[in-house]
Amino acid sequence: MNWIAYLVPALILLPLAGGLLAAVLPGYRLRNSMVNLIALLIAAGGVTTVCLSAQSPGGVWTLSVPAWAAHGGLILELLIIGVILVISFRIKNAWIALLTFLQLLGVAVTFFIPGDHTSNFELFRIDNLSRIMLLVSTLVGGAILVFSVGYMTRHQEHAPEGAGSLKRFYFFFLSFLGLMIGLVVSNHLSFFSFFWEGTTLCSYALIGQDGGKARSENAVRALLINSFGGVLLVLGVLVLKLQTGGESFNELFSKDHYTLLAAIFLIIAAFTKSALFPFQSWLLGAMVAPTPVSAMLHAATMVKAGVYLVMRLTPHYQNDVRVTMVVAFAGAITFLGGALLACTQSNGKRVLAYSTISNLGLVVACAGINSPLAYAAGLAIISFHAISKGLLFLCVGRIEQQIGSRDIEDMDGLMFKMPFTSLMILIGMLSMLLPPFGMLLSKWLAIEATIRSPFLLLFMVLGSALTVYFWAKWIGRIQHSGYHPVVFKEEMSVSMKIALGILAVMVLGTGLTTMLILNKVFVPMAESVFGSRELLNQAATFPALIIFGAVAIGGILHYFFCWRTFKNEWVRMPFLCGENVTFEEVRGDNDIRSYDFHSIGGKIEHSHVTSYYFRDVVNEKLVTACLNWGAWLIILVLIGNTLTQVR
Amino acid sequence: MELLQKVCTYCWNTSWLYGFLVLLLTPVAGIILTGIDRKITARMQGRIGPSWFQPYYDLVKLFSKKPMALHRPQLIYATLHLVFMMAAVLLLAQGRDLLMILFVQAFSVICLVLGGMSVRSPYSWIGSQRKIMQMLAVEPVFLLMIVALYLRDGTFLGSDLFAKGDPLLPSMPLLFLAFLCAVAIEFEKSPFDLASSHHAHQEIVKGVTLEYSGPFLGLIEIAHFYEIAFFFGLMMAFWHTNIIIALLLALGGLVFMVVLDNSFARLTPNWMLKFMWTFPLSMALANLIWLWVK
Repeated sequence: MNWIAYLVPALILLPLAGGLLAAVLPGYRLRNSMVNLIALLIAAGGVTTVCLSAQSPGGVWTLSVPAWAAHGGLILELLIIGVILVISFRIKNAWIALLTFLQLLGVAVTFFIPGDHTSNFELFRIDNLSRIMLLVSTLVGGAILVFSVGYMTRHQEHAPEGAGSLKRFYFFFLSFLGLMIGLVVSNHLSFFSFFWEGTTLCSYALIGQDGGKARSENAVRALLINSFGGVLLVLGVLVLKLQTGGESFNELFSKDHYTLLAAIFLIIAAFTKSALFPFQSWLLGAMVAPTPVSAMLHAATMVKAGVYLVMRLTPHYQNDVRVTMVVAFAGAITFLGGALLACTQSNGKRVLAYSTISNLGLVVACAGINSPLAYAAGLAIISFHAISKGLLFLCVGRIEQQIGSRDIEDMDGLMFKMPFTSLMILIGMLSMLLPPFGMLLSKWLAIEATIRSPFLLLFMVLGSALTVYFWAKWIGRIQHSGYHPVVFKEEMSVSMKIALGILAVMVLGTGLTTMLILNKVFVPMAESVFGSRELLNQAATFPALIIFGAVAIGGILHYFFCWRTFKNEWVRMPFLCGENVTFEEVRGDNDIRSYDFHSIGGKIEHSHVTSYYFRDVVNEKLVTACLNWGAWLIILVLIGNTLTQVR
Repeated sequence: MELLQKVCTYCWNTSWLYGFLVLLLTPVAGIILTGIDRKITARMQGRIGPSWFQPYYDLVKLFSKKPMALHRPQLIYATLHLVFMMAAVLLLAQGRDLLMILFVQAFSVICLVLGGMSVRSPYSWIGSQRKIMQMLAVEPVFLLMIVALYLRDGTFLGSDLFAKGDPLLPSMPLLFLAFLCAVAIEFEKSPFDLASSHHAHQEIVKGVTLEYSGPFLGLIEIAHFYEIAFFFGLMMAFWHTNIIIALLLALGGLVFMVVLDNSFARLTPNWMLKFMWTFPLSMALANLIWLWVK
């Protein structure tokens, strides 16, 4: 009995069915329990699928279906494009209508191109890369679902005028996850396109969830940019079928110039989905959505679909240095640009967005560098980033709900106001730069793999330095506070607490075992794709245990000689040239902070120090324009390069 | 004499003993280097200067002082700063992956910054902001240096590097200069002493460590001794084939920095960033390309 052949479709259909059910179920209690149940089932199903499929011969599980099933994919694809077309008429946007119409035309032409319509084809194919993506989507996605139950209930109480109902929200939210799971396991491109367009549609609906002009504008922008990507996707499939007569990933890897052209179109489509420069604006706009949506977009679905496609395609063109290097540069410019712009932002969610863009750029760069080491680094970044970013987004959402602001400067002193959330967000942020946690180790691998090109390396090195800058600033702001006795208590809903806890445990668990995971999982995967061990041996030798040992010993000594012996009479006010306010004044008045000072006649002056955001040096608009220009050039080079080869 | 040799060989080959001795002796080296620094500075200013071991006496005094603090997280970061610096020194002594060692060292500095930011003190906050600006300025140079080492010798491991026969300096002169600038920043030498200056010419003296005192400042001082020895060791690595030349080279670098320290006025953090990302960075890149083309 082959269980997995039922499990995979069930995993895709379960969230979709759940979404439909959520749209009709009366009462919030029933719906909430259903969402929790689905989260649990998806996570369990995802892990089971990964385990079962790994036992297949060669580690690749496939499901072949008769040829007529391809029509199913076509109908679904046409259906979803039709829906987007209707939406474009409803919002009266000519550009989206045009792009969608082009897609429709492309799909129709592809259908009439003579090809192989008789033999069986592989509908699903789960290999190493798909397994990683499945784990990311189901586990992180599941945790986000659980979080959304607590968050959305409260969100809806304070929802702005014209916001969509929770039924609408959960319909799209659950479908989003189901479509993403479908996307990473499909092997046939018409099914792949259906899932791809489906995530576009869901992201459009979810970004506009809360209604209002700004939100719908951002939603339309997301739809527009992703429709552009959709056209490229359809075009790629068209070229592929014209050349080979087939429509699956297998045909894509028969190496001739036309399939390369098709692959390039798909890669650029992936750039739009992953919000690489010059397509980044939709992801920044998407920040207006409720936080679980942002978390879902950034961590578990959507943007990960793009890098998934790039990671899937590039290893098959490893001999074509001209193509891979250009892809690497497209990624590297995004890595540096994202990190630079993240330094200039004080809006927490925008910092996270730019940081996501930057990390996606790094994944694409890793895919383009074309060495097993870089490939392993890319896989590692996809997985570790998903967990950490999921946690960070949920924390920011929680903080925003509590303090009513997402500005980093307003998060001053959260450490003592919201100890649990602060601890969680600290774990998330430290995991981005703490050696030997996953993100830093992958960055390390990426830099070691880039040695072949000094110019690419410069991008990497500068980007990596900038990354440290904005995280350190943010961590500092959250902790910035006067003396309070340690109380570890915070009121929050159970579902939120559980979701944050699960993600934090995942961050810590993967962080502590990073070297093991790298050596046992990612490196063999990269090997199986590239078939060589260049540089890989060296990476395996780093003794992470020394660092853990040092921290553990330091921690124990600190506990006995410092934490336990800490006395309240040690506590002093900060140095302010002797003009401080006194302890009594701080305790007596909530508005007085410990760094306020006395001026003439004992009058208390308030003081405030803000962080440095490079506002006087870096103009966000100008830098974005320059980066977009550069990124467009790179894309033109990518297309031009391939076109000349075709001729 | 034979016994001594035997003991040395035993220590070298017993990994835990070797690690222990490295951790024990590195701060001693740091103390002596700081002593030399202070002596030269004093002579340049026409003073006799303190004893060579004054940094050690200062340290002992710090630990005998009454502990004072602003809150608990601040103290955790002081410990972490020391712990990660010690880990970096130990990893370097073991000849591990150099790039990772620099990341560990950088994280140690981040801990110091976070400690400075965690307290509600404006001066400490400004100092910490400047400290991360400094990190931003030096990190690229360090990373490029390590990659250049790889291009030259084909390895990231410190141990393999030392097994190679020829000295680094002749093939990496520009990188050495860039590295000196970066080390001057790490050592808080004027004109780069923005975050934690010893001199009164900065408007913020001892910014990032301002709110630490007594034994906790002592921890940070110990970490600083480790750091000084760490970078002194890296400077020596540029001529690793001959210990005397290596010592002379590194001492030369140190004296150069002390002279620099005493002859420059203060400059702004933005100036430092612009300077580091133009001259030293382009020098490092030029050296890197030179090795790459070869």
